[in-house]
Amino acid sequence: MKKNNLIELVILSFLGIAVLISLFLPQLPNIVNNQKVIQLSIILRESDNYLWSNTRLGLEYACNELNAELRFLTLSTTDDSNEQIEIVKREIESGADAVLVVPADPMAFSEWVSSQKDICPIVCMESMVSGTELTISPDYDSIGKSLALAARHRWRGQTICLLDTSSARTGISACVDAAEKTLNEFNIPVKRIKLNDVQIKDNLKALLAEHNSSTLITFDPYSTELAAKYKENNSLDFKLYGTGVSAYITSCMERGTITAIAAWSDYAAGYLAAENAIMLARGKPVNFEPLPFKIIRGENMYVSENEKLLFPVIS
Amino acid sequence: MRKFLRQFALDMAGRYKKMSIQMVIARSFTVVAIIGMVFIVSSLVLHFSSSSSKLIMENTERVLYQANLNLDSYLRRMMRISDTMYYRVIKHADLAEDSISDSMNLLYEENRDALVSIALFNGTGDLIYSTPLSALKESAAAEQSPWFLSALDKMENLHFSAPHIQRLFNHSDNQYHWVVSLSRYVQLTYNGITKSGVLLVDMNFAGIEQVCQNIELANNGYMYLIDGSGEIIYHPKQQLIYAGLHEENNLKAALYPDGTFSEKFLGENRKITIRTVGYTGWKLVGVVPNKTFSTDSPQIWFFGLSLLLFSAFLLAFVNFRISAYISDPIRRLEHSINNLRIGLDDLEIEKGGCYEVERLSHSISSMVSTMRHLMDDIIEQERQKRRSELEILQSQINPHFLYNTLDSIICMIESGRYEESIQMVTSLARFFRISLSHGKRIIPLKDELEHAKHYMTIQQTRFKNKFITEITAQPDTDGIYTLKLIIQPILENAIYHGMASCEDDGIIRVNAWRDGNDLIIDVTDNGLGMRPEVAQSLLDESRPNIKTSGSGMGVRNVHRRIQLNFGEQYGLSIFSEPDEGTCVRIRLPALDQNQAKEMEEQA
Repeated sequence: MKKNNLIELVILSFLGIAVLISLFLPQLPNIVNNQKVIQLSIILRESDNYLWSNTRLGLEYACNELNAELRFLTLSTTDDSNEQIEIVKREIESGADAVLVVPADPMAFSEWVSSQKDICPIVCMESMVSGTELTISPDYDSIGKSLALAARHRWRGQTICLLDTSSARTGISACVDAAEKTLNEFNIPVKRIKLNDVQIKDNLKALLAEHNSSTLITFDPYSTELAAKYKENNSLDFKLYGTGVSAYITSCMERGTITAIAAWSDYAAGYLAAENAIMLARGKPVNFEPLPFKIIRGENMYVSENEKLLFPVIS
Repeated sequence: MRKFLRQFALDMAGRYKKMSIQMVIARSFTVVAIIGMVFIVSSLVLHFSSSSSKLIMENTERVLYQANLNLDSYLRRMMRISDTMYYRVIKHADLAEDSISDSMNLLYEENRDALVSIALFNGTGDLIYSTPLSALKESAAAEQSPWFLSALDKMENLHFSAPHIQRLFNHSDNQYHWVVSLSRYVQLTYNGITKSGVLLVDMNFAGIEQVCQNIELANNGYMYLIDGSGEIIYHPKQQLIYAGLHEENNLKAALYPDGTFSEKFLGENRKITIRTVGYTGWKLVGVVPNKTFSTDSPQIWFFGLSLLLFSAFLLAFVNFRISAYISDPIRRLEHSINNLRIGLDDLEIEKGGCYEVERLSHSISSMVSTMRHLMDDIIEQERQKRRSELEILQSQINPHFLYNTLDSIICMIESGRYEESIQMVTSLARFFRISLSHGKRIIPLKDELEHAKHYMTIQQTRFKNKFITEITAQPDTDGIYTLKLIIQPILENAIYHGMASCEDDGIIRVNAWRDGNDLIIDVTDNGLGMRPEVAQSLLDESRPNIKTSGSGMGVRNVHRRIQLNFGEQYGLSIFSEPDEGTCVRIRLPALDQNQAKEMEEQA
């Protein structure tokens, strides 16, 4: 073959191969993944999702922005770990690209995750679960410490009760531990009370009286609401510190039922959870810093920045 | 720089000279096409970019204008509500006697889609009338609210607040609304006495959101709304901004006047279009990223790349084909000419390709044909010339030889030596018969030897047997043919130069023998001989002719004839030593009858 013909053949082959590569390259999984609609499922630990409405809005916004479809699932019974695992299994089998879980029982869920192979990315909220890729939550240690310091600020010598409703939830228990430790450091009498939701209604007053306590700190939004309702309904006089943002909690703060809360943006939590899960599903690296939070008191709740945190702009 | 450019030009010229025509055409086409493509694409991109940018700006301004109209209309509606409430209801009522509750409720009901509440306060912040709720919160403190203070501060104006949570009234269901408050100073009449008051119309923030949302600008642009101090009233990512997950350059945007500006924010270049919303001093801000192509989809880019590569492939293919179409006939023509140069027979000149190349092929073909005819003519002329030359050489038989021979014969007859005279006449006759040989140039060796023998018979008679002759032929020379009249001139030389001083003891020997494919005829005498250098010079063409008394043919003529007929490797060789004698060796190809016939026909 002549030299010229060989050169021509090489150039044409090179260009032909380049055309083929450019046609096939978009079909590569890594690139297809970037365009694929990600199927994202979130499984809560509760049977009721009203406390997750702001989180849901953040999730939906992120899914809309990042080309994902969201399935928002609750349990038929709150904190039913087995049911939650079954739902996670079902979602994975039905093609979910990533799963967000608010674990009902982090230990049980961790065991199940460890026994699985080649499953889609699982991102947790609220409680950290070993074996999962990421946990979206505020720094519970700091929250516990900050609430303890807020309570100490208005402490008048009586025992401070810490309402431990964590059950198996590691995030909340970490929060309680940090609060207890902080108060102990200041030699403030502290009592950790373990109650479930029903027991709050029945036993709270008696327990506070028993421990001669005028301050109660709760560490999850639901128990904060329960304690506030109980306090208002029974016209009790104790200082209540809590966590979470809901219309009822803010109204209680306004009325003075709740002294202060640790608040973080559930909308941001939802957005970041979805964003990170979608990134993981697309095989991209993620980097998550704990959600920032603020201690908001009744008297400063209408400061502009606090207003934005307590009252999401949602039409 | 000039030196570099000159060197570059020289390098290119050097490479160009070494390149084939196909490569030159293909590369030139490709370079020109690529330059053209780059030029066209660049100008298109620039034009597109400029038009697109202009279009985007126009579109942004148009959208902002429309949004401004909608927002203005919405705000004017709120102002009309406030005006209606004030000028149609409050101004006409003496609040000590009249209730404005029904009118206020009616107005609220008519506009409840846009309103959260309407409330009337006196100058100290006490609630006089409100709808739909009437119970103030304990913590309401209306007199300390910014909207209240603004209304009292600038009494002639309507005041729009930034979005805030409405916290005046107790909601049974713990509802909180984001509102924009429209407040104004009003004069209240109590028993004919005018007092100060503040009318508050709380607009539902969702109304503003509805006006602003779903507005999309080109290039994934968006629009947001700020108040005069840069506080965000509406932003499509408002909640993300509030949560600290997104940033906006709103404080700087508040400083811009109306118009379009370029800015770089968070590493992104973008165009900002500002339009102030009439009465309020709010600003609509359109943000359009400075991206020419707004797609984030890699598929589009890959498609563009594929298209570009395929165009390059097509371009290269077409260029190669065109260059091959032009250059292949030229190359084939060059190949034909090369073959012509090395002298291949049956050469066919390639004809094909473009018109010019075809014409060139025709011309070369015609030229080759003419050249062949001319060469044939030249060969024929050369052949004719050689024949004429041979004929001239052969005709150079010295007529003196004939006169002398005839004189000798006459003397013999006169002296009664009839037998000798008969023999001499017979030999002479035979001599001339063989000399003629029917005009043939190639004759059998035995005839040539016979010719020599008759010649020597004549000469021996003339020279009174001063020498003897021995003519022999080796048996392997039977049937061999030779050029005629090549021995006789050698014998003539031997007689006149070698035997001149002999005294009856001269010997001249002729011996024919075969050396491989050659025929050797040695003519040897024992005469005076000569120095070897003289012997060598006898065949020198530059040596002047020496007139002899012999037949006149000469040794050189024989040598030239042989070489003309058979080539340079044949001819005469002369070996001689003074007083020893001379040997002239004739070398010829040993031709058989057929070869002799062929040569004769060619001649």
